[in-house]
Amino acid sequence: MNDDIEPRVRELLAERARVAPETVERVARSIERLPDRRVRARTTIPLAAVAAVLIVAVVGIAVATLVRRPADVVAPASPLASATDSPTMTASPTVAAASPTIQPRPVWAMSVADHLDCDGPPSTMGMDVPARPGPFDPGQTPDDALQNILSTYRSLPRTGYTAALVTGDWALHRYLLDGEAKVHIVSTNRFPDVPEETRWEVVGLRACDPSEFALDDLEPGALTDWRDAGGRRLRTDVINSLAGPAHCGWQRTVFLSLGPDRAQYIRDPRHELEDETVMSFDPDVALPDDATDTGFHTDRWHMFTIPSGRAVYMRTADGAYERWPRARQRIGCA
Amino acid sequence: MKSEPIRIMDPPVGMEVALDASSRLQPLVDAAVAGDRDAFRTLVEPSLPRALGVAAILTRSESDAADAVQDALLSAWLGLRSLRDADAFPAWFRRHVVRAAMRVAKRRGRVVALDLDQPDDPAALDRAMARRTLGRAFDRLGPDDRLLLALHHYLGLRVAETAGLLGIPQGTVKSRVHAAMDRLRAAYDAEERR
Repeated sequence: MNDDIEPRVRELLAERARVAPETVERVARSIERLPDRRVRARTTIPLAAVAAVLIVAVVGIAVATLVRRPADVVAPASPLASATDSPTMTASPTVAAASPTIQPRPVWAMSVADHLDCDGPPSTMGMDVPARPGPFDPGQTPDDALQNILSTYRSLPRTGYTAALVTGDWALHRYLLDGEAKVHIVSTNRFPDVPEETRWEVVGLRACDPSEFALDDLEPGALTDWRDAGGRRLRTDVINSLAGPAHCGWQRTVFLSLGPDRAQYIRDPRHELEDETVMSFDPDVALPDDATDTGFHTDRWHMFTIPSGRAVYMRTADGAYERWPRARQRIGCA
Repeated sequence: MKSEPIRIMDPPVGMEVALDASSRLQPLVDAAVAGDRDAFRTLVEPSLPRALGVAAILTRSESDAADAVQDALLSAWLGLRSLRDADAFPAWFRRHVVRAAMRVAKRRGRVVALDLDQPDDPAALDRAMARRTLGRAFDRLGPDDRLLLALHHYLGLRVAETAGLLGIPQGTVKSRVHAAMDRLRAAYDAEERR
């Protein structure tokens, strides 16, 4: 491409940025509808007090790796009161940071995935600390920051977190299941570049595969419970299916991801995506002779595959077979 | 305090361009913290066209951009108490806008091809084709790349401002803008081969 791209990019962006005056006015009018703000005390003061107490507690136990807590320990009522529940992390010394934006980084925060108790490999979601900072919404407390990131990662548990380690500047939220750590979320308020704001922001997230989370802790519809013939839950990198997003009107469409190459199959009852699949969806077909019973099933479907891989077949609860065609390439909703 | 009129086609010099001297922001921020919507309006209104522009670039939809900026207004209104430095309000509000727009942008995935009006003039057609190709190439970029290019080439933020906005080092901003431009060039080449 020739070198005059920059002026053309500026032209393109100016064109894309053009909005109607009516839109500006409509947004400006929305200020009138902002809710009344309740007067409340800043939460940073009690947090600082709690943090100061916790620092003392943590430093006292930071000489070595802490003892793993037993599986039946009940999470404390207040997440921020659980500093001594930090089993595998040392609240150790910090190291000089390579990045001027988040510093100094505690050693424990730099490899949170290493401290998970996953049954299989950790999932690909999230990142260690230091990480490429995303524009996650900050909060005034670590709990606020946690809640903000949960709206970004729908497949993370909604509930069940405890703040396992909190110092003045760092917090670690852990999702524990039967005493095993399945999610670690690290937040900090160490942002020297943005001194004008009190903010805690999630900077590290590592999690086990969502199939290791308690279904009751997940948002409804965030994960389909696929199981093998023996009734064992299947990892999402083996099989995963989700309904399409509402903002594309695809709520009745199901996108199935299968196998390590994440082949995508589509239940397309409205036949809206036929151009994207190698054949059409059929709600009532005969099961091919060469079909293989995978044993994979949910409460709605039981899956069969065929050697060509051009479709999968689902036996429904009423005994019919549906043909879900393979997508020509993985697609999503714009 | 009198606010500037809304302008749609301001030059890309940053959303805070129309704000008055920063020494006058503290009383406005104080009033807004106390619940004065008019004070809040005075603070944000000059920034709205630019805010909507950035959001429109990131979300590729005017209606989504309006939703994002309204979300940003709400979060800024509710979070105003956390603002330590009134002078930093413009950059602080811009951060809310970028976050809200990125939330929308990251919910969107598939590239949507834009229809091309067919002009009669062959030269105009060539230009339109090139513009369409560049637009399609830009749409192939991820939200993070689109954000960096919008901040750099639309808002015209300095590297230090972008670094402050995103909370990353200045050197990282430079390398990411460079990488985003490389990806845009590669995407353009790929679009031309289609």
